[in-house]
Amino acid sequence: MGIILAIKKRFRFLIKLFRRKDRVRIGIYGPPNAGKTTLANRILRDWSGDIMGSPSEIPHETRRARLREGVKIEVNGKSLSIDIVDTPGIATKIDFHEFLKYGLSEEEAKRRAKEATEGVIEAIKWLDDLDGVLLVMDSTEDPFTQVNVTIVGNIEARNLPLLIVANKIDLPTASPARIKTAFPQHPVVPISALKGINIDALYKAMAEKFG
Amino acid sequence: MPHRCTKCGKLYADGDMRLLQGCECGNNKFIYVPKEKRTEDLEVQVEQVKKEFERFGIESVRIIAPGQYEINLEKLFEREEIIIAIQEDGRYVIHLPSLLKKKKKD
Repeated sequence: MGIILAIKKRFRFLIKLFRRKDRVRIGIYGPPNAGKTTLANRILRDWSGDIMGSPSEIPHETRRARLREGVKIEVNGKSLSIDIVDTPGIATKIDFHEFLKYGLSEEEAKRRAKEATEGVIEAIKWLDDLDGVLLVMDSTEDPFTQVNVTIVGNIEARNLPLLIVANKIDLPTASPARIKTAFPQHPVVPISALKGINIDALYKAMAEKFG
Repeated sequence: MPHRCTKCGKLYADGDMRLLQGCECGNNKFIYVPKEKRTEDLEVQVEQVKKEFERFGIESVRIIAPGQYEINLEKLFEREEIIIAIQEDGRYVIHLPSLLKKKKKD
């Protein structure tokens, strides 16, 4: 079995090449509360009239990856069919105390912390099955964090097409330029997933990058 | 904070009258630079991030106490198998299914 797996691994790029023809699988990644689910909802609402899940102000609301297949995006007459994977927020430390201040009981908070940890592992495992990544960052926060640096570095190592989404530009303290300064080697698209600001530019960039 | 010329990169302070006339290089487009991090600051941050990584041993997840976890992203990205460290006293749990599991998604 080991040999088969090794062969499969070696020719993964070929498998991806063939899959690319009809459909691309895009993962939405980022730290907790960056707006991943809000963005997934925005994309689905715009193109299939559906939603992915409910976002929340409490971090680690999404604790299982969610997959929606066959979402058709049309930009400038060009159509792109994508599978969207909304992943749990990636963090390096998860502490139930953080959830207590949102009014969760200790038991609920501990369960949430455990599920969030499993969620991080699940999110990372999904990377093996993707054709591209939308990395969502909160424009109001410092982008130079261990989580962001590690994700970007690993996606680069895997040669996966990467588009950085500078989210929450509707907020007064947002600074998408700071994200561009931190990761100048990648395209950065400033948007507000909540308000739908500049979302067409994102679809255009997705069609160019992943199509 | 400064405005940077998009062509030659020269910086102009906020409210500088030359912004209205255009840059010395003839360009009249400027980008607002909110709080440009000095390179030394960035280097300090890079060092901090590196130190964070060094705190971990072989484990991919460390359970400090029920409900408190530390996740070693680098190990998780690198390897399939999951090794869990319990507290900081050298106790480890090796998650065998993650070592043995055949990939189902492919």
